[in-house]
Parts: sequence; structure tokens; C-alpha cells
Amino acid sequence: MMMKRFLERPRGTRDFALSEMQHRAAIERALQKEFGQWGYQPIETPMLEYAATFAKGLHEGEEERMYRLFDAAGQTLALRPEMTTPVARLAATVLSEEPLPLRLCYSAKTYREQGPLAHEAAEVTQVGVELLGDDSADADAEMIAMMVGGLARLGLSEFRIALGHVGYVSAMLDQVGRKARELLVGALMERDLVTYERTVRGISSESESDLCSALLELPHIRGGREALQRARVLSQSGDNAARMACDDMFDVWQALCEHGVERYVQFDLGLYPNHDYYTGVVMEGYVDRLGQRICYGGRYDHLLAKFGRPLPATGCVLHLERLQDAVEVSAPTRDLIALSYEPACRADALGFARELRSRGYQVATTLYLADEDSAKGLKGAPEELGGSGTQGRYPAAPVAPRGVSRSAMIWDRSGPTLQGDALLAEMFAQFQDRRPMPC
Amino acid sequence: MLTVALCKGRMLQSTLALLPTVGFTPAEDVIDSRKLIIEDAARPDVRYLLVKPVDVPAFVEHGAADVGLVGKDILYEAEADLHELLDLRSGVCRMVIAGFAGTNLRTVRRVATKYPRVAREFFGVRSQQIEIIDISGSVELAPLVGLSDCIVDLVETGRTLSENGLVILAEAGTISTRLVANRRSYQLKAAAIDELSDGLRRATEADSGAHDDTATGTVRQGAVS
Repeated sequence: MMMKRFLERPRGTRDFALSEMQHRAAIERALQKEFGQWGYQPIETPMLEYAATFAKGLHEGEEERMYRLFDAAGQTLALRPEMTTPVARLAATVLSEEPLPLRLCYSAKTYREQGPLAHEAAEVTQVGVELLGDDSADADAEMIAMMVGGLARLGLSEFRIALGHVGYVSAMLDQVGRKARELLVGALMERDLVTYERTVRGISSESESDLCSALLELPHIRGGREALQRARVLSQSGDNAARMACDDMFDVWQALCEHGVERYVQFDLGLYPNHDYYTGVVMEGYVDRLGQRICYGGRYDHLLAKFGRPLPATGCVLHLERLQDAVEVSAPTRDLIALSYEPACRADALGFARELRSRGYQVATTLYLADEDSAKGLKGAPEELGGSGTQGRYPAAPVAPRGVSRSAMIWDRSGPTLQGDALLAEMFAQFQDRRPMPC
Repeated sequence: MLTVALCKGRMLQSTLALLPTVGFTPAEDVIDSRKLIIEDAARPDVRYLLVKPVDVPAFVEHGAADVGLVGKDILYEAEADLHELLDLRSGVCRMVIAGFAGTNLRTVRRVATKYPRVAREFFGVRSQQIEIIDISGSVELAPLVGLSDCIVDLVETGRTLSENGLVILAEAGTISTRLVANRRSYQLKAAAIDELSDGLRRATEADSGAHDDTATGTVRQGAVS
């Protein structure tokens, strides 16, 4: 069978329309409002960047999944696969003179060719924040508290933000040989604790049994303050970096308690995201209604240096399409006045509509032809346009769009009929007072 | 509520022997029942889904089940995004390359299998180009009728192979049952999952003695090394 390709969307993309679009826009607005209240300013960057820009930020596996194209000069361009790298470029160039810290937010479509996981979308809308130029634990805590605030604002209550620390895990793993370390990092990234455990047992020797039991315990540590106390105990075997990372985590935890969001947060020391640029506290958020993570982010203190402006930074993104699946749809309403009119009443109907719009109302006007007589009002219209019924070019009856909450108004030869609230009636009365009705 | 996905088929028996020892007891005779959702005998907050083995990763990845028990062979092919928590050291099988005796593995070109990723990896690290013929059952038939030069398949006893005149040419690793968890559930239902995972860990370690690592090498290591 012939495939009607022109009717289809590329795999991994979605359309949004009508009530779904309203839902989507409402979520986006709520998040932007939350970010705005924390002092974040919106930015926008091009959907196309030079592939070389992303080579600074992404690891090989991610680069492979970029959509690439060429410009006329033969330069390789890429559809942005994420926003952190463009934000870093922006901060190092356009915003290089701005006072620090920079608080930036965005809502942007990102593109990745689908991997082996078929359910991954090729087009993802990332709604995110980046805080540049502040390396304090308070900045990390701000990210997390803001995510909690955003998710709560969307009406979600059953969610949890998992926190890890790339610096802590790195320092702990630095105690084993290079090859074993690589295996362990790979296993943590893939959340494969079986391979992780087997690798740790493989490096076991008598002298290292303390280290091995510490590494075996590490990815199983989850919880609040008590988890951090375990992390500190384990870090005794590690170097100073591990102990500093512990202090860092305690600071973040303390700040989270002071933000009053600690009940939404738990440490998971095995958390090790599959991204090269993270350096410190990392996070992933989960909602009970959705199997996959809904937001993620963390500290990336080395990325901006690659763009010539060494700055500590942290950031987080939410996945808008997943939020659409997780957030309850509030009954979609449109504050719309649907105004249908016959040709003879057009001047009045359009005049009233104009007045309503100037007062900020949404008005959709539609001409209809009730019968042959009605068509006579269409001056200058060719004969065949007249006539009623579905065959005609115009509807034969007043039209009311679906989901209209406010009011409808029908204006026929006998005059206007209001099917709306008192406010509309009053405005109409005022309109009439100013301009006596001819019909 | 903790939802546990169990594989129908080969592994079910050993799974069912193990679960009650850690306090997870399906309320019905799972093997004979036609029901797909089964309650726990004692815990109102636990239930079991009976799922085709190849579907377990999808049920867990999408969060329809919080945890699942599934063979590493299936996990490896599925490449699902989930937590692999524990090797249960049960349902142990070998992943092998089999064919007629005397087949030269270095000149093999066509490989019939249910496990294309294992096959691609096994021959890939040997820089050998192969054509994979994806077959879903009775894989042993393929070399007999000239469809392929060899097969990559799971072997428990080796009886099917020998009755069809085939022999094991090489091993690609050992398979065992794994406990997997959904990413959301791992964070939101941490206590329940830890309880199951710790219980199973104690039971399997008591069962198979101390760290008997050679028993269950992963496919990956087997295939790569």
C-alpha cells in the first residue's frame, strides 16, 4: 500500500493543538512564572548552531545523535540537542559584560535522533534554568528548591528529587585502577549494579577490603541526613576531594531544609548521569504518575571555561511533553465570545466585535446564511454563492466553536440574541446606546 | 503499592520458589492460573503481573511494574532504561554459538538467532562481518535447512542441540535472572524495593555460597572478552 508520507510526522515528533495546546501552554506559563519569581530572565538562542559548539559540551554518544546539516559554506550545523551548551556560549559572548551571577531561563525545543530506546522523543521541549557565576551550595539548593516549587505549582505532590554528587563518586572511584574505574563509571551510568558489584569484587585484595566494602555500599546509600553520614564514613578511605564533596552535600542538604523542601528530596549516591560536563551536585526528579524522569540537571563548573569564560554554573531542565502526561488537565476553558451574524447585520456585528476586542475580550465572528433571502444581503456576491445548506460556501446556521465557556451571540434579521452572561448583555446595551441599531 | 513483573515460562518455577522465602507470596497457583494480575497472599500493597519474558523490560521501563524479574539475555537485547539491581543466580543458562561439528567460526557468514545484539557483539569484536537472521523460535532448525551457518542461542541442557546433530562451537557468556527496577519507583518506592532487593540478596547468597562470580558472568563480558 502506498504510504501517504505527506500526511505523517517524522518519528518521535508530536503535534499539539486545541485543548492539548492550552494544557501545554498553561504548564509552560506556570513554570516561567515560578522561575521569574526567583529572579530568572528569559533568553532565546537559535535552533541551529555550529556543530563545533556542541563538540565542546557533549560526549561522543550524544554528538552522534545530533541532526546535522550543512550551510552554503560547507560548515556543519546542528539542530540543538540541548540548551546548556548554547547558554554557555551566550554567557561567554553576548552576556560577557553582565554582572554575576546570571540567572537565565528558557523554553526551547531540542532535537536528538532517536536512540535504541524507541520511546524517546526526537523533539523535546526543555523548560530550564541556568545559574552562572555562583559556586556555592546555596546555588545548588536554589536549583532544587525551584524545581520543587515548579512541580508543586503544577499541582503535583507525589514527586521526589534524587540528588547525587559526581565529585564524591569520582573521588571514591579514583582509589581504584584506571581500567576498573572506567568499568565502574560505565556501570553507574547505566544503573547496572550487577556489573558494578562484580567489578568491585574483581579488584578485591586483602589490603583493599575496606575500600571494596565502601565501594559496594556506595550505590545503595539513599536517604536524607543519615545517608550523608554514611557517605562521610565511607569517604574516610578516600582522599580530601571525597571529604570536601561530603561537606558540600551537607551544606546543600542544610540549605534545602532551610528552603523547607527536604521532604521532597533524597540523596542517591549511586546517581551518576550520562553527561561529561557535570562536576558536583546532580539531580533527577520523578513524579509518581510517570516511569521516566521529569527533570534533571546539576553543577557543571568546567563547561564555560571551554568557551573562554571560566565560570561555575548549575542548571536544570524539565521535559515539557512528559509534564503534559503527568500534570492533571484542568478543565479547558476559552474565554471566547462566539458571534454569528447574517449578512444584513454584518456592520453591526463587526462593530460590536471590534468594541469587545478593544476591551480585551476574545471574539470569533462567523457569517452564516440561513436561507435564500439571507443570501441577498451578500452584496456583490455571485449568484451561486447564495443558497443555504451544507453545499454552500457559508454555514447554514450559527456556529459555536467547541469548548466555549463564555457566551454566544447570534445576530439575525430580527436582531441580536444573546446567550451569555449579564456582562455581555450590559456591554451590548451600552453599545446600542451609543449607536442606535438600524435593524 | 509495589507491582512486581514476573516472567511466564522457563524461569517462573525458580522465581516462585525464591519469592516466598523473602516474604513475597503470590496468593494463587501462578503456574496453573490464567489470571494476569495476582495479589499477594498477605500484603495488600503488593501484586504480581504475569508477563511474557520479552515484555518485562518494557513494563518496568515505563513504570507499569515497579520491579521485575527477568533473564539477562532479554535485558541485554532490550537495552531498556532501568536499574539492574541484583543477580539472582537462578535460571542459569549458557549463551552459545552452535552449529555442525567442524564449522569454522571465522568463516561464518549467516547467523540465525533470537539475540541479534549478542550475535553482533560476539562477531563484532572479532571484526567479522555477519548477516543476522532474526528468528523467534526453533532456531536450531536454521542450520539444518541451510538458512544459516550457525546459531546464537540459550542452552540449558543441550538436549535440543544434540538431538538435532548440532554442537556448541563457542560460548558467549552465562545468563541468569536479574532483579530490575523502574527509575521512578527506585526513588519513590525506595523502602519497598530495598526490602525486596536485600531479601533476595540474602537468599541468593545463602543459596549459592559466597561470591561465586564465575557462575554468572554477564553476556557483555562474555561476549567481549
